This record gives sequence, C-alpha cells and structure tokens, in this order.
Amino acid sequence: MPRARVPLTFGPGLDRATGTGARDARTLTDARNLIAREAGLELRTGLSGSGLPALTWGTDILAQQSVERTRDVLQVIYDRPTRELRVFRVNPVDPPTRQQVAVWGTLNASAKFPIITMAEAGGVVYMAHAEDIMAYRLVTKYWTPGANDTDTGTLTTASADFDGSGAPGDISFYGVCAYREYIAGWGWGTEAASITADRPEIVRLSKPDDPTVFPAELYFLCGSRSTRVIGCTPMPTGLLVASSTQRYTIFGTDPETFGVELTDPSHGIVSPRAWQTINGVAYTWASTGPRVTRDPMAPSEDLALPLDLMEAQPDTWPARGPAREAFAAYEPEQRVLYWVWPDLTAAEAARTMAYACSLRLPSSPRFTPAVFERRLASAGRYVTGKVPLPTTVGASGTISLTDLGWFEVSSGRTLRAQYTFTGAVGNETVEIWLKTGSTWALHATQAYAPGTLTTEFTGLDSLTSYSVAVRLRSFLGAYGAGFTGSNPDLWTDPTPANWRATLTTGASTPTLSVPVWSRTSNTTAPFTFDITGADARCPVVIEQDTGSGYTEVATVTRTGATLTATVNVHAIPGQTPNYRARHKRGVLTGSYSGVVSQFVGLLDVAPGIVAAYDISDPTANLRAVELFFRLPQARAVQVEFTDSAQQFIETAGISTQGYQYTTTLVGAGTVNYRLRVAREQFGVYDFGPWGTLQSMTVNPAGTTPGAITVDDQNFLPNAFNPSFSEGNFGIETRLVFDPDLQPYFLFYRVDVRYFGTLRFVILGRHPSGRFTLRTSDTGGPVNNYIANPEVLDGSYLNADDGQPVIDLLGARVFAIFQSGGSNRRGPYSTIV
Amino acid sequence: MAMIPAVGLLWGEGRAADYARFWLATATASDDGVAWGVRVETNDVAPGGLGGEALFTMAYLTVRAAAGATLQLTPILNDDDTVSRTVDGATVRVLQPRVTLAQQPGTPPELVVQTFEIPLLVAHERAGAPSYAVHPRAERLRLRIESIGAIGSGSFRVEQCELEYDLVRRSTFTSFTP
Repeated sequence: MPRARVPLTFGPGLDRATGTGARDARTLTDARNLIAREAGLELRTGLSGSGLPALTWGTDILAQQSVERTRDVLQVIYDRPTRELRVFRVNPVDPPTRQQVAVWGTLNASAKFPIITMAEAGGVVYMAHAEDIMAYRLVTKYWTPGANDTDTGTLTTASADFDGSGAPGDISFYGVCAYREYIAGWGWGTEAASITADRPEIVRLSKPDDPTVFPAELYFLCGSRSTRVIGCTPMPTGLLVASSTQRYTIFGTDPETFGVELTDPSHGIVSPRAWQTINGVAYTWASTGPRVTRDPMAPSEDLALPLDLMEAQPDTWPARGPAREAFAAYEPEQRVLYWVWPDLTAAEAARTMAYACSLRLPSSPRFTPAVFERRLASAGRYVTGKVPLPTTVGASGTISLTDLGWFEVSSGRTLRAQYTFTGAVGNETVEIWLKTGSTWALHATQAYAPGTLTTEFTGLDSLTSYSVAVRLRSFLGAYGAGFTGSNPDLWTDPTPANWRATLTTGASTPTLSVPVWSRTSNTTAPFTFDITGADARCPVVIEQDTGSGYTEVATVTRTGATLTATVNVHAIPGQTPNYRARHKRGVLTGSYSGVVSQFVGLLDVAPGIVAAYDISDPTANLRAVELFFRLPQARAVQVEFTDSAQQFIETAGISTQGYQYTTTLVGAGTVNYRLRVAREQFGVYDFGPWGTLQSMTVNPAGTTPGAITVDDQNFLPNAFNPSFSEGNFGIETRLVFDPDLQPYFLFYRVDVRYFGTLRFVILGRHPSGRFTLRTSDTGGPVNNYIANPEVLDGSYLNADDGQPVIDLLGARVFAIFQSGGSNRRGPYSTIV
Repeated sequence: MAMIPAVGLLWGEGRAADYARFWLATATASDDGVAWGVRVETNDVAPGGLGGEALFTMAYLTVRAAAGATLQLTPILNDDDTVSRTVDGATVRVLQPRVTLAQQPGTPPELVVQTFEIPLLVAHERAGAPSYAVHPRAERLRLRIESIGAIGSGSFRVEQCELEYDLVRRSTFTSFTP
C-alpha cells in the first residue's frame, strides 16, 4: 500500500500568522531571497552593475529614475560629510556619461536624514524634500532637459503666486507625485509667511499641460489643519492622499470634476515613498503593514496578516529600519513589489530587509522575505534602450522670407519663412530660429515633412531687420554637423544661404489729415495732424516745406489705436506750408504719404472791400482815404497800405455787418491796400489770409475831387448782407455833384423795413460849408442844415423833422465846397 | 551576459562613508558580488492532526533550475530544529541530506527539471559509529531547504516538494486535513 503524500507547492508564500492547526500546508514560514510564483519559488534578482558610470561624489542615492521623456537617469545624491544634495544626470548611451546638473541645497544640520520624492510629468521631473520642519525643508526643484542630448538640463526652483500678491514665491512641497497629467505637491500653503507656508494638509495640482505652473485655486484640504499628508498614491481614477492614520481620495480628471473625500478613515501610509501603483492597483504600507486599494473610493484591504509583523522575525532576517525611510520598488520582470526597510540613519549597515510581494497573480499577492546584502536607499524605474544619437540628420535645402505686410489683428507685420531640407530621415524636428536685433531665439519647432515647410512670424515690427535660421533635430536631440549650439550665427555649415535668410520688413504708407491750427500759448500755435494707416511701434516722421524744401519737423510713434502729431507753426504765421509723412527707423524709410497744406493762422476769409474813397482835404497835405468793408464775424482787421506801416483796429464794438476805416496817408497817387482779419490771444495777434490786393487813386493836395458817378445798383451792391436779395435790399443811388456849389453827395437807401435806417454818405467837405439834405417822398423836400459839417464825422444825422419818416443813423457827412461863404449853396441834388 | 529587461529596476545605495553605488536588478544570486543563499522553511505538516503522529519517510523535491546549486534538507520535528542530541549515551542526529544541481550550459542556460527522492532519517550513533537509522516520527514536521554555497548563474526555481508519510495515529481533534 503506497504511503500518503502531502504536496508542498510553496506558491502561496509566507503565512506566519495562521494558527498551526489551520494553516495551508503549502504556505511557508520562510522563503528568503525567493519570489513566490503560481506554484513554487524562484530566486529574486540580485544587484548587478548597471554599466552606468559610478558615482564620484556623494554617499547616498536618495532618489533615482529614468526620465521617460529622455531616457536619461536622474539621480538625487546626498553627501553626508557636507550635507549637500546634488542632482546628477546619467546619459545611458554608449558610452554612458554622467553630469552634475546642479547643487540642490545643503541640509540643515538638525534636519532628519533626507527623504526625497521624485515625479515626472510633461517632460519635467520634480523633486521634493520630505522634512517635517519647514525651516529645514529644501525648496522644491524641477529638472528640465536641455535642447540637446549633450546638455545636462536645468534645475529650477518651483514657484507660484499662491497668496495673490502678484509676485511668485518659492515652493517647498513635502512630497510630489505624478497624477494623470498633473504634478501633485503637498504640504505647502502660500508663500506669504512661514505660518501660511506650512500647510501639511494641503494638496495642490499643477496645470495639466504645464506642470511647472501651479494655479493657486487648484488645491484640496485633506484632513484637519494638523494632519500631515505623508504620501500620495496615484490611481487611474483617483489620487490617494494618506496621512499616518487615514486616507483621502481626490477624484476627478479636471477642475470641473475634481472633488475630495475621506475614503479610508483607518489606514494611512508610513512614508512618502511606501507606495506603488501596479496595473491600476495601489499598494501602500500603513502602520499595520501592507495594504492594497483596488477602488480609490473604497477603504484599503489588508495584506499584512501573513507576515505577522508584530511578532519576532527570524534571527536571520535583518531588522527593519525607521518607517519614514521605507520605500517601495517594483521589479517588473518578476512582477514583484519590494517593500524595502533600510536603516539609513544608523551606522553603515551591510544588509537590508525587504518584503517581496509577488504580483504574478494580482488577485492574490503573496509575500516572501528578501535580504539584500547592501544597504539600499532608493530604487527607481530604469528604462533601457536609449540608442546612441545619430550623428547625421537631413541637410538644409533652401530658405526664403516674405513680408506679408501689417496685420492689425496681430499688431505687427507677418513674416513668412519657407524652407526645404534634403536627405531627412523623416522623424526629425525642424527648429526655426528667429533673430531680433542681435539675439537669436528658438521661435518654434515643427515636425519635419517632405516638401516646402512654412512658418509665419507675426507681431513683428516695421522697418526692422529679421533673420531666420532652420535646422533639423533628430528624434533624440542630435543635430547635423555644423549646426550645434544655440547661436545660428556660429553654426559652421559652409552654405548658410541654404538655412539662413535675412529680410528687412517694410512699412505701411501713412495718411496725413489736413492739419487743424490752434493757438495754445504766446509761443505755440500747433498744427494737429491725424495720421491713419501707420504701423504701431514704428516712428512716423512728418516733414514740412515752407518753400525751401522739406525738413523733418515731428516724429511720432503709434502705441494705441490712433495716432496724432503736432507741429508748432508759431514761427511761420501767414504761410501755407506743405506736409508729408512716412515711416522712418534709422536709415530705413517707408513711402511718403500724400501732401497736405494748410494756412497758418485764422481761416477767416479776408474782409470784403465795399468801397474806398479819397476823402482828402484839398487844402491839406495829408491825404485821407476811407475804406468800407464787411466782416463775416467779429474780428479785428488788419489793413495794410503799400506806403504806410501796418496798423490795427480793435474789435470792440464792431458790428459784424461791416466797418469803415479811415486813415491818413502821406503822398498821393496809386495806393495799394489789402485787409485781413486778426485775433489777439495770449498777447499775440494771429491773422487770416490777406484779401485781394486793391488799388485806388488818391489825389494830390489841392486837388478838388472830381465828380463821381456811380450807377444805381452798381455801388455798394448788397453791401451789408449779401444774403439779402436785391428785391428786399434795393439800393438807390444818385450822385449830384457840383464842384463849386453842390456838395459831393451820395446817399442811398436801404430797406427801411429791415434796417429802419437811411444812411447818407456825402463826400466832399468845406471848412465852413454846410449842406442841405432834402428828403422827400411824400410832401416835398426837407432841408436839414448841418452847421459844422467837419464835426459830423462819426455822429448821426437824424431826420428829426419827421418828414419823411426815416431814421438816419450813422451818417457821416462831409461837405466839399470848392469856394463860397456860408450863404453860398449849391443846387440841390436830384431828389430820389 | 544577463538579459536586461526594457524596463528594469535600478537600486541605489545608502552608504555612510564612501561613494554610493547603484545596481540593476538582474537574474543573479549575488548582491554587488556578494553571494547570497536561499532558505525555504515550510509550515508544519501534521498528517495525523495536532496530537496525532506520523512517520515521515521521504521528501520528493522538484527543482527547475539552470543554475548549479547544492541544497540541503533539514526536517524539523515538532518545531525542534535541533539536529543532534544525545539520548542514553547515543547521539541522535537528524540527517540533513544534500542534493546537487549541476550548472547548465548555455547563454542563458537552459532550465532543467529534476526531482530528488530524499529519504528522511534520524540516525543513531554510538561511540561515533552509526548503529541504525529510522524515519522520523513526530506529530508534525516542517522542511527547511537551504542552499549551501554559491548558487550558479541562471534561473533557479524550487517548484514543489511532496512529503511522504505513514500515519501512525490520527488525532481525534484534528481540524485540518491536508
């Protein structure tokens, strides 16, 4: 009879807790350095040389992982003697190289052994220092790879404006992890003050498309004010946020769907690194041991019981180190999750205790112990296969630039670059560099495509020289020979015409408005121009021509939607200069606008000459001239005679309906004269344009004025208001003139219905003479005698005898008698 | 040369007084050149139940390995892992048989499945000379399998062990039947 057998398949791993009588016989009490399989055990992996350059600085590798974007290995190294932390980059090509990126900082002497978390999102890698004491905590940094594979990349201090002060402040997160497209950072409030900075319960998320930016409003409170978030574990549909005793879950995918809930009130996490998410399942180590979370909104499940952690462990197992130093690492080849318990703060220990959790059967994690013969401080993903960068990429072909003109929508000119390449592999990236002034900058990148590629540069300035250079970059960042560096002027490719071009942008042609003249002070009387069609940020020069050629008189630059310019024309009164404008920047110029002209001064038309009379006393040497003119509005009038100095007439009391001006002249003969309006402002006179030059003849002294006959309707036509029609403003004129006895007499009548006035103008005078005015339209002539004609100048002669009913206003009466005494009287003029 | 997976695990060292080192997790039974062994210890098997008794006769150990290794089996009776004691002037020694697995050739070496029939014996010796050997008889037994010396290169899997026994007495209180 065959004996019975008990199969011991080993696969279930450790079970150190179940009572003797109830244990599964396949379970184990020890399986050191073996990993549980479905059935059986296999050797764990050992620690072998990576083939990467060894450290030449630092005692502890605090964090390390392959950067998914570049496949570089990024390491945070700590040096115990100097307490300095540095970041190194290992380029795992053949041969691999190691470069120091930057010094992160120096640890405070009182700080605990540094625990570092590292997370990658959006191509940058964040690093945070999990130090409880804020004053000892290092600022959070992120690494950005360089543009070229040979670059070490840069280490930047994370910053944000969380307090709304307008000035960003440095961030010191307690820890970081990547959640979906976000970087999650926790333990930081605002930069306003130390008391607001230390917010252990706050978890913040970056922008998903730019993890270097943390919006102030994107944060979550995960527990009370005193609850320190220790570690976060990302799951596909939620971020587990654990303190030492409880766990919250931030759920959602974007700010509109985000929320936070307490999902495991009994279990937290022991250290910022004691987690791994494998296949969407989160494994964490809580104070009671390892736990698994399959649903982020549900409490975690216990995995710790088989380990019987509270009881004594076999003597051959090293002691576990401090919980805060524990970390998790996943070895994908064996599907094993290690929870590693180093004692980093003790004197150098040779061995490290770890618990290997086989995830070959995800629904049934099984444990075995692992004893490492070295003190492990960190572990990270290592993505192999970074291939050596190709040394050649496609070559440049052609490049051309075109100025597409000014576009107001982009407030600038648009430059189009078109270029080709030859021999491209096909997966290159095109770098387009733009030089403004003397500075080159990488303007844009685009995927290579066969044929002609185009890039448009918008918002450029007019009359400015721009250069564009293009080159190809391989998938992994290499450039062709002669195209290295970030200054295309220093690229050494022998045919720069194939990849670099320069163009000076043009400028629009501005349009000048006819300027408006004004008086603003006693020394400034500007022309104001409205300029349309001018390019912003490009100077517009206005040129003036006063008859001797154009000169620049103003330069203005548009910064807003409109542009105006002023030119002080105080010094050129009475001229009508020409103006034109164009863009000008240094020696570069645009096209001229059309020419505009304007009179410098008042635009009032010159007074119209109504009549001019020689009223000289035949017996006097001084000759007298009387002018009649009209004014469209109340203005001073300047009269200029060719043989006299300029004189002014004040405006006070002047009617807008006309004015008389009398002057005395020396000499006789032909006298030229002209008039213009004048206005006094700020103590200076400005003038309108001169009227047409007029001429008259002044008799020499001793000459009796000859008879003047002015036909009816031909003299003073519409003198005072041209808007009146003839019918309403009839003028009847009759001159009766006898050089000996009759006065040199003129009268006319205006429409009494309107003016109520009958004005007489009697030309001629005699020192002792008088004249008789007979008016009659009903009952016969009435004589009015004026005793002293020479004093009647400026007075009114009223028809006070009531016959006829007329009102005589403003009559200026002169009588000229060639000879005769007081009783002599010339014949009456014809009655009109 | 061991095959490096596309995505591997890079370990970093914490070292107090020298430059830290880092390693790649690879299929080798050594850490930074320091060979380590394996040790498997089953839980107790009590075919007759607690309070029962059985005679444990053989262990059939199946190993699937490419790495050369020497394994030693130690039966632990009733939770007593003492392998040698003196009883009535005689030395009672629990025999710890060893089996050797040859290192397989090739790169990587091919896995070979081997099952070893290993008798479980307790030897009685008097004055240094063996007098007789019997199968161990106990309420329960667990097996300890450990490597002796360095393990070679390549995979090494302990797949199964069958424990053969004769039931001497079944406990009336047995609550567990394998």
